[in-house]
Amino acid sequence: MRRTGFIVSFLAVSAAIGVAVTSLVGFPRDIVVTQNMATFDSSTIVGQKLWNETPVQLLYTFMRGGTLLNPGVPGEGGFEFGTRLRLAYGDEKIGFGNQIADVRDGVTSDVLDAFRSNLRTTGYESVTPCPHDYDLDCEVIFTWNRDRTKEVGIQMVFIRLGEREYGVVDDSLLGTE
Amino acid sequence: MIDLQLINWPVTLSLGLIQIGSFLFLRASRNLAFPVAIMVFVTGASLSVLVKILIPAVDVNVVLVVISALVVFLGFVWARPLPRKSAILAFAAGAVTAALFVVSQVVTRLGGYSSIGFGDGQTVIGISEGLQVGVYDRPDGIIGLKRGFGLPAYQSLGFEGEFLVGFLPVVFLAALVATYVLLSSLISNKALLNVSYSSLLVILLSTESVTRHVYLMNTHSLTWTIFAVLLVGLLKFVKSEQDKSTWVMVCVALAAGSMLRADNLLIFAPTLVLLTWVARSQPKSHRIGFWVATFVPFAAWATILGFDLPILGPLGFPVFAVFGILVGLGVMWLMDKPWASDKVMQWLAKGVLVGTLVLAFALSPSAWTAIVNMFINLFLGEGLWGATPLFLVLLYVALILFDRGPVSQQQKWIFALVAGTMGAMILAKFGDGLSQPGTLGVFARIGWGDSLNRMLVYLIPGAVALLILRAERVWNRFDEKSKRQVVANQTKKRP
Repeated sequence: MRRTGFIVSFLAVSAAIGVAVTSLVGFPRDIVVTQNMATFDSSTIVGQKLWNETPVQLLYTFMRGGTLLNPGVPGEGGFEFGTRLRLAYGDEKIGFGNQIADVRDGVTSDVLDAFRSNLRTTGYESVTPCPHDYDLDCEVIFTWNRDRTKEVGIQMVFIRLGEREYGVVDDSLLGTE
Repeated sequence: MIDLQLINWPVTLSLGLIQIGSFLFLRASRNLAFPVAIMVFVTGASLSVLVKILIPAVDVNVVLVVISALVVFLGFVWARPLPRKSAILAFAAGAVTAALFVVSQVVTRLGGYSSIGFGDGQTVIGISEGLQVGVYDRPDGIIGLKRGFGLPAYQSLGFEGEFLVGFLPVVFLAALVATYVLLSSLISNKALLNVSYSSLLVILLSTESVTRHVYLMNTHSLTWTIFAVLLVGLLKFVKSEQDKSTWVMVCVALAAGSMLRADNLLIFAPTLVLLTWVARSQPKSHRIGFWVATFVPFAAWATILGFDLPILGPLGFPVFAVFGILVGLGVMWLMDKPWASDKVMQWLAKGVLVGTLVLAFALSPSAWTAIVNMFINLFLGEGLWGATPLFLVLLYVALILFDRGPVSQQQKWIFALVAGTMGAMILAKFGDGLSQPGTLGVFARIGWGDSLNRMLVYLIPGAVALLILRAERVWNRFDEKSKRQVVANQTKKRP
């Protein structure tokens, strides 16, 4: 009895630790909880969008019928999560061919600030490894024209807005700026 | 440092009182008193908010404390004659639960923890904000019924403008405790129980889709708790171990589920039918009590919040509840027929899953896509389940290969409940899919945000129960083998 108990306990605990490590290291992880909330006031939370979610999960939830343009190739200046998106969208709905578009080029800082500010008004903000350096954290603003939520084939474009600021926005927002 | 004024004392007091009452009701299975107290609290809090809506002048905290005191009083009446030691233990349990909630509030405020993401959580805290002032701000369409009442109701007991800070982790803890109690009711081998549960905890707490439920503004951890408690009740009825407190516990669990949201009625339906069957040695009034506990709380909140049905208008949901109870009577009548047997009931429950899948494939061109999405969520990581599902499936197969003996009655019932519930969950989500244009009835999407993916935590108690029962058989087999070997060695050594 004691011997069986020892063997089974050893095997069970080792297996559990093995599974835990595999889950934590070898599988995708996003955000378990929002931390450091300044307030628990319901209106403020909703109004100021005080929650975190990763761009991947936001795309899955809100843009499942969309097409993704230029997330870049992972490891070559593209978002680290790019390969995960293949499972949901398939290669035909992701344009991996081009680099992330840098909207800072040829735009004055005032115009860029106004654009960023517009995106933040309706956008979800989250933090993810920077496409240009996975050791750094970058902010990603995810937003779209809400009238197009149900539109099949809506194009979401990955753009760079600043040194550590990126965006995933629908093409109508880019077109109007 | 945390300001003591930021501790929600009325709710803490109420929870402590309810824990005392729950402990007294469940003296025979004390470990369940904590999860059941959480369910009673949710039901009591929901009732208090309904009173507030009907009589805006009342103070909801006062109503809640009165209900809680009533639970304690009934507990003392129920437990008579009560030895002094039991009374002291009941008060100690109340103090521990209250202290737990205080700790959770402090930790949550210090860390600023919450999880409100996506639309559901925002809708819930929006509704709860209105309920604080006795106003139900009804969301569009059927969203109100889908998001339900129980969660925004108890969340509205937070401070002015806030939701109820720190309560969700206590619910999550209740789910873990209820799962432990379920496992402890299944196997007598303490060593195996503790090793299995510790290993399970390590696995569950490293699985993001599980740990997200610690703070997620949703009903999932509570429904997980409810399923664990219902399984304990079901297995007690199967083993004819039931006492009156088991019946009360099951009714409380069903009522709490019914308070939460409308689609729980569908999701609990297979469990309800199985309970009605396995409890057939109980008086008929007790069995129909399960149906009353399931249908009446839902009808009450839906009617008071102003939901109605076509043609029947505001009387729609009361009529629906009466209809539901009549269906219960009809089911009981059918169960008296000679063809009704354990086997038939188990096959019926499994048939819910098969039937739902057949229906989905027949009606929706997206059914296969949904199955693929579920596979991607569970096994390829996008549902944030990590390596857990793959490991559990492989472990289960390995255990079957080690011991291919006939399955026990307990295993059959648990499997039937898990299959039936899974079928009902898919059916609920399939209906959801059909009601949304452009989705072609797809019942599972890729990602953590998919409802079905998040609802899978309901099946954790059943799944781990099936595993541990298999593990116990393999353990016993190895144990017997090792004993035989020892005896054989000793015999050889003898001159």
